[in-house]
Amino acid sequence: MSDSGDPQDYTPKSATRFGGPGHQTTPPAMLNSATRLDSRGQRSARFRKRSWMILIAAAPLLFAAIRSLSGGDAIGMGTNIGLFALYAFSVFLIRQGGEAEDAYLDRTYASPPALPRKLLGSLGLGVATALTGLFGWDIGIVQSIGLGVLAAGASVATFGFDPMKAKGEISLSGVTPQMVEDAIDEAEERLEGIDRAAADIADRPLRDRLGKITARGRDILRRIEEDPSDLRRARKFLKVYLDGALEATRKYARSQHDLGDSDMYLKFRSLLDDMQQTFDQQHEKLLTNDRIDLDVEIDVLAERLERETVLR
Amino acid sequence: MNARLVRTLAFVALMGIVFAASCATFVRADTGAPVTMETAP
Repeated sequence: MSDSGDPQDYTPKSATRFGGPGHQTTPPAMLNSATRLDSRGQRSARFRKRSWMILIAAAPLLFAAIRSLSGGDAIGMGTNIGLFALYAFSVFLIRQGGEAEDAYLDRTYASPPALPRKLLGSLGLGVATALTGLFGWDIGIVQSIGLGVLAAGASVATFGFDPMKAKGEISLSGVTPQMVEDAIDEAEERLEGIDRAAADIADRPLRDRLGKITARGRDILRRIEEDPSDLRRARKFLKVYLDGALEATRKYARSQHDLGDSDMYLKFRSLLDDMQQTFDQQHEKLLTNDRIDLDVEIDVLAERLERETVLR
Repeated sequence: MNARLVRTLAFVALMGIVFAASCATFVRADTGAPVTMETAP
């Protein structure tokens, strides 16, 4: 044997047996989030599939309408089509409710949906079934109502209830979920306003730069949603910057053709440069959780936004 | 009984109810009278 030791001691990493000595497993926390995402995706796919299948089950009503028409029964045809339309509307409501629930589950802070669509859809399915029993099947009012109640109950059990409560925790800094939601909604509106105004700007590089700025703005919003303790500081940033950017973009878009390629273009471009830089800085600060206050920089830019000719 | 099984059973029941009601409507749409042993050919 040589001095290099027993060759039996050496095991290449690729040869480590699963669960054997030296095997490192992925931390369960990392796997859990992947599994959760996966199960949620599976759940919403099942939801969509099931809502379509109800429409397929109600499809004989359409054939019944054709038969009624061929038998010369116009009222019967109208009734059958109306019943099918009621089923379709209920399924539409349930699907909308499912989408609203997905959006609610995706967000850290969320209000419940304005309308309990899944519940209303289930009620619609119950009513549609009761009316089909009464007018189509002709089984009498009591049995029809019983059938409708059964269908509505089965639908509630299948698709579940809508989220009813606001979601999110009150953080230590006294920031409520409602405050976070309001601030983010307001900022989103301004970002959309900038996007709309930017679409009117003829100069492509300026448009692209504004697109980058709004994308960075959305990153900042996501960051605030994840950690709302910075909301108070960030709110000033969002208000001053987004208002300023929106105003400047609108005014530039309005007057770009009057002034042509003048001084204003250069000023607007350099303003956008500054804005992009400060957005990046703010995002960086939020990411690193750095407590250095950006208020001074915000004030400087606010002053500049006031001063620049674009705003006059 | 787990929640998923309950949802699946409820869905099967819902499909059954809706399908039965709409099929019965289809069958009755032809004759305009209830299908019974007496009226069946």
